[in-house]
Formats: sequence, C-alpha cells, structure tokens
Amino acid sequence: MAIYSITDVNNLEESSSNLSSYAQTLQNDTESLAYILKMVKENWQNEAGADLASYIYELQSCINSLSNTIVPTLNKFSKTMNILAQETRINQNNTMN
Amino acid sequence: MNINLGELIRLKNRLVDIDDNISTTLSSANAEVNNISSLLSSSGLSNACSIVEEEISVLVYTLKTNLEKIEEFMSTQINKYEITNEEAVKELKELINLLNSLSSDKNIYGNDSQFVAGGLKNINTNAALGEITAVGVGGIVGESMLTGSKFEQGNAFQNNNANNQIDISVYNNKPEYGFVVTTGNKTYNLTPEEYDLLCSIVAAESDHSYDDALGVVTTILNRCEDPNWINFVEIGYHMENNPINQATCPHQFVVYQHGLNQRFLNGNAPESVQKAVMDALAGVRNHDYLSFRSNDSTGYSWNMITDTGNRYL
Repeated sequence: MAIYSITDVNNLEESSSNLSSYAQTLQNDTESLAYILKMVKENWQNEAGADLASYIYELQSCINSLSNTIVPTLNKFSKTMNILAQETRINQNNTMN
Repeated sequence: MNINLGELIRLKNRLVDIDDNISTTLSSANAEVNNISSLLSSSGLSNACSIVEEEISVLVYTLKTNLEKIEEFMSTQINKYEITNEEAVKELKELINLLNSLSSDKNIYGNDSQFVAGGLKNINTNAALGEITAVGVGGIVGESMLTGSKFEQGNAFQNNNANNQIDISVYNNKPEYGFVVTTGNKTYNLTPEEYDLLCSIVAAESDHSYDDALGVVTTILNRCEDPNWINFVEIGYHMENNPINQATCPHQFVVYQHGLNQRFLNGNAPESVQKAVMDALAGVRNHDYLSFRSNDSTGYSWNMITDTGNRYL
C-alpha cells in the first residue's frame, strides 16, 4: 500500500477545491461550445463545404475529450484529494491525542 | 438559415469568450494538478501529471486552431448580414416615417393600415377600433393585438397598453453581461387566466425586481422563439408552442411542477413582476439567453442583471 506524506493539508484542500471549480467551469463552457457548434452546423454546414465540416469535426472531438475524459478526471482527482486531506487531518488529530 | 443577426453576433462573442476561457481554465487546472503532485511527493503521480499536461497542450492547440476558424467563419457571415441589410434599413426608415405620420394624427386606430413585424399590413378599420394595439417605445407597433374579447374593460393590463407607451425607464442595461432592453420584439396574446399563471411562475422564479422578472419572462419567450428549443410535438406533447406551454411543460420550470407559484396566483404577483410580464408580452426583452439558474449556482454563470437574481446562460 502506498503511503503519502502530506506536508501542507490546507494547500491540498485549496488546490482540490480550485480543481473542482475549474471542472465545473470547463463543463459549462463545453456545453456552451456544443450548443454554438450545433447552431453553426444546422445553419451553414450544408452550404459551407468540407473545411467547415472539418473544423466542426475537430472541435467535436475536443468536446468529447473534455466531457468524457478531462472533466470527469478532474472531478475524480479533486474528490480523491479531498478524501486524502480529510484522512490526513483525522490521522493528525489521532497522533496529537 | 434560421439565425438572426443579433443572435449570430451574440454566439460569435460567446465563442471568443469560450476560446479564452477553456484555454485559461485548462492551464489553471493543470497548475493545480502539478501543485498537488508536488505536495504528495509521488513519482507515479508526477509521471501521470506529465502525460496529462501533454494531452492538455494538444487539446488546447486543437481547440484554439479550430475555434479561430469558426470565429473567422462567423465574422464572414456577420459581414454578409450587414451588406444585405441595406434593403431592410430602407424599408425600416419608410415604416418609421409612416408611423410618425400616423402618430401625428393621434388617431392611429382610424387608419386603414398599420405596421406588423416584417412589413405593412392592411386591416379593417372597424376591426381595429375593437382592438388595443401594443406600441413599443421605439415607435414600432407590435405584431399582435390584445383583443377586447380576451380582456375586460378596466383591466390594468389592457389600460397600460392602451396608453400606447411602455415605460422601460424602470429597466437597467448591463451590456457587458448580455442584458440590453429592446422593444418591438414578438408579442403574445394571453387570456387573463394565462397572464395570471405566467405572472405567478415568473414571481416564483425571480427576485421580484423589474430587471430579474423581465429576465425570467424573456427567457420563456426566447424559448418560444428558438427553433432549437423544445418541439412539443417531437417530444410527444401535442400542444402549441406558446409562453404558457413553455412555462408549464414537464421538466422546464420546477417552481410550477412543485406548486411553488401557487401563492402568487389570483393577482398576488408583485407589481414589478406583473409589469415585466405585461411589457414582455408587448414586445420588450432584456437578453438573448435561453436558460437561467438560481443565484447560488455560482459555477453556472456570472451573467446576472441583479446581484440577488438569477444567473443566465
């Protein structure tokens, strides 16, 4: 079992909280981006040709990557670090007792 | 093409914001991951962070490159709009001149013609006498009439509109957050019962200020006018796309679904809400957003017209 020594729990908690906030912001921006791309597709894809379709395709891949990988990973990371910070605090208290 | 110029400009500006925001947020997130990695002194985590950092760099590059192309494309479309709008501007000037001449007669109900959205429409003089016309402050007459059969004489809703003036001085603009008060938008007919119901829902959803109440009702009407929002028939609800159905459709406004609007029924909505709903139905709007969440949803959006009101996106 890996043993981690955390020197600065406050710092860990703050970073973890920031990460969670960034994940939410990314999620919101990704949803907005998906909506805008949908509008662009519906209005112009047929008349604008292959170039536009290619940009949209690339951006769609980015959206998938953000929604399916980046945001869930950041959330998971943040959650795990929060648990780690809490456990560290409990252990610190136990040691003091 | 179903998108209008205002919406196109709004989407293009939003895209530019997203372009900046996503790159910045990804970089910040990456910095936090690295910070945590250093706090844990784990070589395994450190290696994983390096891989993530590389992936994020590629993602940011791909996003930026392609978003810039889409922004460029949208700018081209906006320029095209501006060129082809010359005819529309000419037509609008003619409409305003004619409206001014009608107003100077102070007898617009007796004329044989009046404006509707999109052009000039001949109407029957006698029929017009029985109708109340909603007139925007900018001088554009709304496209629909509040018919006498739907509103009893003496009703405040009717009288206010009968004055041919909508007082928009109570509303504030916050263009930097996407809130600009406009008049002359699409208008709607409601029965008194429907108007009361809509006021109750808006009262339950807003902070009761003029601005936030107008923001809520504008969202409902924007949904009515957005072809990409709910198509009732498509989702199995065979009903008309109108403000009441948009506000009461399942999974839309939770205050209605949970009955939280009940206490505002029967004319119990605040005056500010009643005015905002009345003005919106007569063509006033204050944003182009399609959604909002409560003030405490701080991760959702910072687009607020009041500090205690909803967050719009």
